Amino acid sequence: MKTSKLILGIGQSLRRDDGVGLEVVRRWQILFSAHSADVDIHVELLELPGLGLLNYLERESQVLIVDAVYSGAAPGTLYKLLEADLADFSPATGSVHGWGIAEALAFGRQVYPHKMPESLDILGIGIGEVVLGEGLSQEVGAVIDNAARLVERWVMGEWLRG
Amino acid sequence: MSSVQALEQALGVVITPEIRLLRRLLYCAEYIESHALHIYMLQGPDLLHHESALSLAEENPEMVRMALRLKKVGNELLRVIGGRSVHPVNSCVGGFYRWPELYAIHALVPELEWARRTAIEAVKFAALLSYPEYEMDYEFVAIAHPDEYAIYDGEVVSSRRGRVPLDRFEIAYIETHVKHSNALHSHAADGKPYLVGPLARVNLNFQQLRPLARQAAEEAGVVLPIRNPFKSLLARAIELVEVCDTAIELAHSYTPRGASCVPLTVRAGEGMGVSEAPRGLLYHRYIVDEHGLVCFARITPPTAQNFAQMEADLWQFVPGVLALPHEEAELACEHLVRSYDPCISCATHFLKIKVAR
Repeated sequence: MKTSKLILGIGQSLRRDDGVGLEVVRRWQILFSAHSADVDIHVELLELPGLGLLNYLERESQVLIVDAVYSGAAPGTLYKLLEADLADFSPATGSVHGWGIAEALAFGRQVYPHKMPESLDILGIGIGEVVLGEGLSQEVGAVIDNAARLVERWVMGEWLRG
Repeated sequence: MSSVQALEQALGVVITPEIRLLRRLLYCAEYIESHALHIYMLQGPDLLHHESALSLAEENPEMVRMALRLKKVGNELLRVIGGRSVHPVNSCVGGFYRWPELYAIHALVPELEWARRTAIEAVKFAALLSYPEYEMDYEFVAIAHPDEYAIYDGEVVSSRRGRVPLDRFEIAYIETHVKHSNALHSHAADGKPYLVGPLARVNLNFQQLRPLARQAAEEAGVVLPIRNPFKSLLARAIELVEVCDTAIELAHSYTPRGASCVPLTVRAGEGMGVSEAPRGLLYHRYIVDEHGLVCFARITPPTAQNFAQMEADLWQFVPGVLALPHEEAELACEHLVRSYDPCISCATHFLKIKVAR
């Protein structure tokens, strides 16, 4: 029976702000090391998983995806999203190498509905233009700690409390 | 794998046979996941008259589940060897940061055996598909190896030029800027385009295929050379048998013996490396200074090498579809481009055609 939690940081570390999902999860691991060492909380950092995302989801009951999103709002805006909300955002990666998160999730629901997690939440971090390089912009880097605290709230089951 | 080979040549590093075998196994994993994706999720839906894998999944969910399982076998093998299933991180100059666990490699053998059976069925499936009538007289370029079907290493060979020494590669095949693209295009020295990828490999190295892959191809009635780019899918299916069969043998014989990484001494030097990525020949050249810093890098990836050939194909192909309604003509051209499995092939609609009448 699946009872574990999975935190998935997604992004491309060589495309600056697109790597913010990876950085937020790493920061959560540092700030909340007690929880990050819990054997029932799995952590994965993925760059462009494409359809490979489905391989990670099928083992878990509760999943949090942490990823950059492009909404047109100020970079650094934090979003608590559900799967259905993804349609309102453009893919932030600027990449055409693979399936996006929304497409992969929709595909999984269609092909493997019984293997998909019981609950799936998304922490989106708004970013601006994606450019090549390492490191985050000042605006996006400034919200890493707050985003990591939201990850912790999700772990504590307090995700819906504002 | 081309990058580490190039840097090892620059630094004078010679890897052990065990490291080479594990690198071949890593490449088998890359082929399995990449070819499964392209055969069933990207080009397959085109040839089955579906808009995408999503609509194919509505009609034939079993086929799509089978494809996902096949792809997962490759991804799992990648994860076990490379540390993660996408963009593996365990490979390094000189070998691997650590040996993968023996039990983890062996544990994947049953799934690899299932994958091999499925790959044989994939060849039968590919042989029965209806392909558009179109052929091109290509110059095929791939690497070849005297003892095996070359994917990890070998010497460059061309169907028109014969053997091309690696230190002459940039003279034989030239990258240039073209006005209409932000990617470099490659041509042979005589200005003509050439083709890399599964069609080139299968046509040039058919006799090096393992008996099982050759048998699957022969039973499917494959006649060489295959000059129809849409039949890249068939070539990929044959290669799928090849790499699954190879992977099983390599997994069985895997022996993590000695150091996983050959020690290196930093020195100034220059090196070239070439391997066959699933999409085709991948060439790297680096110049390293005495501190180990890379001060020159040239990376010639397969998709970029094929751009000029894709354009030449389109020039020849388009007159045959101009009589079709505009959307159908556009789709037919997209299918042609997708048969190459370029990086953009995941996009369902990526091509715009303007017809000047």
